[in-house]
Amino acid sequence: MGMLGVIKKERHSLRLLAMLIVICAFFLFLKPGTFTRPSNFEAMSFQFPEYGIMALGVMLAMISGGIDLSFVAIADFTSIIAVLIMQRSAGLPVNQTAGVILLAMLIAIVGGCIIGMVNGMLVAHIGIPAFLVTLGSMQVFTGLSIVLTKGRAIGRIPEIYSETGNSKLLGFLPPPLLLFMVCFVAVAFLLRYTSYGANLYLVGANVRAAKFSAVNYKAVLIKTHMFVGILSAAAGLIMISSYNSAKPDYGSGYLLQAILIAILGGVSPNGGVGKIGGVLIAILIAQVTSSGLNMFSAINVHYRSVLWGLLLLIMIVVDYYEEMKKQGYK
Amino acid sequence: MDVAKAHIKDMLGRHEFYIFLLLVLICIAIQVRSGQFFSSNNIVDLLHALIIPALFSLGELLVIISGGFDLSFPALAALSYSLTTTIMVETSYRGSVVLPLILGTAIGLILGSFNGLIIAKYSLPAMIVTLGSQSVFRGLMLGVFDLREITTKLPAGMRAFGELSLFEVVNPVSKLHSIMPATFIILVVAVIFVYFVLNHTLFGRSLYAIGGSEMSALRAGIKVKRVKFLLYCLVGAMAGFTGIVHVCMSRQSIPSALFGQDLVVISAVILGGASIYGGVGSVTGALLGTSLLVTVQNSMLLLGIETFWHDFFTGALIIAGITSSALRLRSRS
Repeated sequence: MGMLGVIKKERHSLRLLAMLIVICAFFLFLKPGTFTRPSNFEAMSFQFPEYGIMALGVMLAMISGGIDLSFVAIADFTSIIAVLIMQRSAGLPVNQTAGVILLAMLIAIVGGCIIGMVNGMLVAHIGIPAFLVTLGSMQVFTGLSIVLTKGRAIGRIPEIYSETGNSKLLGFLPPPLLLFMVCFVAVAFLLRYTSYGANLYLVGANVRAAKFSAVNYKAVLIKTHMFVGILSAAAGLIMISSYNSAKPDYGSGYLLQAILIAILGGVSPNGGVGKIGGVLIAILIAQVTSSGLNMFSAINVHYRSVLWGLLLLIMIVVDYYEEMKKQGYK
Repeated sequence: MDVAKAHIKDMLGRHEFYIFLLLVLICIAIQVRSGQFFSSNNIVDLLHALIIPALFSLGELLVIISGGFDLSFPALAALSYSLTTTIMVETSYRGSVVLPLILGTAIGLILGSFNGLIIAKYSLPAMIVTLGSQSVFRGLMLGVFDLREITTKLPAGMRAFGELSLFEVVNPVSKLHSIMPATFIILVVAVIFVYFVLNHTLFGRSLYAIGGSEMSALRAGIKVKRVKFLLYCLVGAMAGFTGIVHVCMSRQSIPSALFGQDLVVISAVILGGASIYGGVGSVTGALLGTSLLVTVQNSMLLLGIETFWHDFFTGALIIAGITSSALRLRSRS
């Protein structure tokens, strides 16, 4: 495949990249000093991993032909469980505290995995659309989070947790960014090099065809929601350190934002289509626009909702014209 | 005799019947536990709480029948009423509720036509478009226009409209008063209107056809794009109108008051038997689904369940409802 072929195949991603460059250039032009300041990039690298990891989960669910609406609820619920366990370490010596923290993190991840598995089983075995299953489980786990915390933020987290979470490993790498990179590589590997990845696209594109091709589509769907659960729990662990507490409605704004990012990144809500590279660029676009807007004190934070909504609408309309052209319409 | 049998068989085959049965069972269970469910003031309180969600569910029903989802109506309604009340307060409006209602409906119509234009012109999935537009509406409301809460300064005409009552009942045991608001009439009219539109107009039948299969509808000569555009205009206008009613009834205009309503209302309509794939759904079902959710939410206080449990039970009810209907559909096919 020549250069032209690559350009054709990656058209959506290239367009996103162009969009990212234009947005960066725009802010660079308006606020050259502030935008390139190292502290700006540092702040960004602490912010986007939270919803970036969630967007990776949404991407998987959407490629499978469904969606997952419960990811924020899972992140909140598992982070509350983790905090409740971490609180038990009060007064313990340092090495035991570290043990309790690791245990709490492990339980959060396993918990996310189990919740995802239940979602997946309802979707695969009973045949309820993922949209509805996860709509219900979102309510259930938000509800349980409220029950556990009585709706309040719970803190008293061991200091080393948030200190580590807000530090820089080896002097430059924030742990949230490291966690994002691990998740990104893992999901990219799953999609590219495993039979799960290949089957996921197949199931998403056409469940019936996948069924007749002897693909265990039920296992694929269950695994997909399990991965969403694990990724959500991982995002929840970052939320604990950035807020230094856990609360049932932390991250509630991420629900629509992560879905928006996945669609902006070129994932088709009809399933079967989506590239992790596109989603990565969309995550960066979301972060750059919100950090960029933050530099203007006169513009309040809600302007970014307008911007994101418009970006999404523009992208899907452009994709529509693209599709029409491909099919030979004028 | 055979006719009666056929009627019963038809009834047993209908989703609405099971939802009705579930609603009755829940009501009886609450009555047994609390002894207060079938008291006059509780029923009036429930009907009061039903008005706004039911009005929204009628709009969402139309969209779901056409094969789409509207995630934007809470933001659309909020932007309409916040803008309307702000204009009213800024101009020191002293008149009746009529002008705010017209203005709110008009703004809703314009915002809805924006949805409709994109969805119809480019044949794009409504869920994605309204996901984007709700973000735009919310940003316009809180960012660009910077609209704030309006509580005590709400125009007297709007306040009076919300306080207008049909009748008042008193619970003989607890001596609690409950007022039946006049806005309930709006719900009754809206129900009749949507029922009529769905069953007796070309537009309504077209919605079912488009939801069933857009391609077949097109082949049958239905102007799909025009119907879809009109649908989102209508739903936008309905949401704008409902928003003003909501402000009058709560006697305050809070921009974020409706956030999260989208998913609750969608669940209610789906619980009522509408298919998420489109083409199936009824006014009766949507009303029953909404009543079910509202009854459960409102009765938790009566049962002495702490408020922290509300979301959990709502979610459990949604999962139980959709699972049972999925199982029933599967056993039939």
